[in-house]
Amino acid sequence: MGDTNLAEIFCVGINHESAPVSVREQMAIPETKLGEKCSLITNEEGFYEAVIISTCNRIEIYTVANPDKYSKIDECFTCLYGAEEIESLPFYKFRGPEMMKHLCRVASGLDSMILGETEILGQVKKSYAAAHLAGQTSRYLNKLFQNVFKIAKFVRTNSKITRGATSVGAAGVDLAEKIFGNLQDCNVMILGAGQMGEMVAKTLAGRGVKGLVVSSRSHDKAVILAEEMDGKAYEFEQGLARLFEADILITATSSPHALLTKEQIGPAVRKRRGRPLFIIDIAVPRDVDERVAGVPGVYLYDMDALQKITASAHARREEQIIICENLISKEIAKLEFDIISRDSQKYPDQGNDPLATV
Amino acid sequence: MDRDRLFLVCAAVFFCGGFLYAITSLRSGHYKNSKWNFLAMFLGMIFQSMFLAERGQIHGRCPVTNLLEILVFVSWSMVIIYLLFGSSYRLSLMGVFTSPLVLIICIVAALVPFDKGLAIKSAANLGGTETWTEFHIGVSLISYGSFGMACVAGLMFLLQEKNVRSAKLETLFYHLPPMHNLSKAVFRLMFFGVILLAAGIFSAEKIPPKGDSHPLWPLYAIWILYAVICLVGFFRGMVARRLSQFAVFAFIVSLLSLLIIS
Repeated sequence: MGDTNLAEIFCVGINHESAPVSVREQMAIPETKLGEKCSLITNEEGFYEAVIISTCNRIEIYTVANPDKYSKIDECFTCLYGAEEIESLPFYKFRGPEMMKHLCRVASGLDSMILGETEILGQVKKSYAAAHLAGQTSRYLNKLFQNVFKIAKFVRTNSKITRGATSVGAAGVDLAEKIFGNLQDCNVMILGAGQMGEMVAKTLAGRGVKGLVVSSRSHDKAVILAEEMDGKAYEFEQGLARLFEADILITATSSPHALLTKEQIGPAVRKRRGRPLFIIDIAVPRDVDERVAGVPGVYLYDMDALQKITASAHARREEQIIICENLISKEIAKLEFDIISRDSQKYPDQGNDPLATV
Repeated sequence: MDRDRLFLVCAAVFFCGGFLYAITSLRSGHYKNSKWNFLAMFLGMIFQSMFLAERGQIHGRCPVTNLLEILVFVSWSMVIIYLLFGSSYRLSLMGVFTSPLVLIICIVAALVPFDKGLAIKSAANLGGTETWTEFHIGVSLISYGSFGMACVAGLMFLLQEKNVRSAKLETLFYHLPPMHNLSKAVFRLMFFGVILLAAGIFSAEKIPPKGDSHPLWPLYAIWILYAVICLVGFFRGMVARRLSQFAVFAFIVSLLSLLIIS
């Protein structure tokens, strides 16, 4: 690490809005190599600290460097990928308050493709940890990232940006959890071994359901999917006969007409002795007759209903952007005072503290 | 203002404060399982207890001499049951649903005129009281409190079911407990009430007969009603929605039975 007497924190990067996936996938850096790549940046003259954030939606570099490096900040990418690779890439770059605000937006999920997603904070934490372990961060980036993590958590807690399901699978899980409480006591049955059914079932299985059964007209496909998801495979007719054992039923067959009618569901529900049955019908045309929704104890959702949930969740998250940005601005304003007052003891030459400018 | 009335007004202020705080924070989306709501309910209960103690001293017996005192006693036992079970079973929002009911009871009871002189005179004429009478009154009314809380849990279930059926995943959807937990709470509270009321009826049979004692048949009727609901639910199984509807209906019947008893 060099002399940080004259240094400033910069950010440079590309994301899903500025570069297509074909470019991003070529530039992606695996988590295990992040620390090593950071050292390539700090080995350059005038660069002192570095953190690389590499996710499927962005590659960003946060670095502490001499102020005159800002005009040539793309050099960070040059030392990682070579000059030809990055030529004509639409980089964005930030310094000062804008840099801080940008990192807060990223960590809070405001800059994500799925607005308000929570995974990004974990990814930023991992990126920082990798750089820190490799000895590529020091007082400035340490302080920056620690404060940003606090702000991101504050934003998530004090807004509704993470509220609501933004995918069909997540909407299914939200509803199931509000019907059954703990999904660990629930048996899931999938009728049809298609891709959509698999996707929803995987989301539910991710919450640790008790048992999973796949039943399909194509028994081979059912067996493959059941093995993949650590469940059991039933012949189609057998599956229908054991319907009463399922708490959550996902239907995704390619049948041209309704497979389950009110008359078929009624006896199965009676055998359940009052325990509810949650049906997610994601087949088009629908597998379950809509009259089934009228059976007491049955909660039926088709693709339209689930998509309506995700659309309204997305709209509500959009409404939260301004609230979150205000929270970020307020927290950054508090931070400025905090850092300057604290640092006046720690760093006598306050003008050289990169965060003091924030 | 008399002391007893002042205690009731104080209880109403705390229930109202807790309710308004919860509603405001729910509307702003910042509601958490709040200690403030719990504290408001707790302080409200303390003032209710002070009211009942004050009236108990005036009457020289358990303070259930008229319908409003009975209702205050029932609402007091509802708050006690919420404080004991509501928060530990992650049903904290139950307090928000309970407070308007107990608030209304407190306000009405505080407004209704009370002839203190007459009450003191009748207490002097009454002399000592039977232990079985006190036990009968206390346990029976706590069982009504339990039925009241089953009704509150039932209403919460019906509201959450409406949210789930209409696929409206909004503020209340996220704050209300899962339907399964609510239906379990409805059943357990009714069952708890059935046991307590059985004890209440048993103790009533031990009381030496007097001319002014209340009729027991409404208690038997209420006990049979709840016992049948619990037995059917336990042995045959009952869809949670129906169980919740029964809990609400049976509590309305129970309140009507208090009219006869009082």
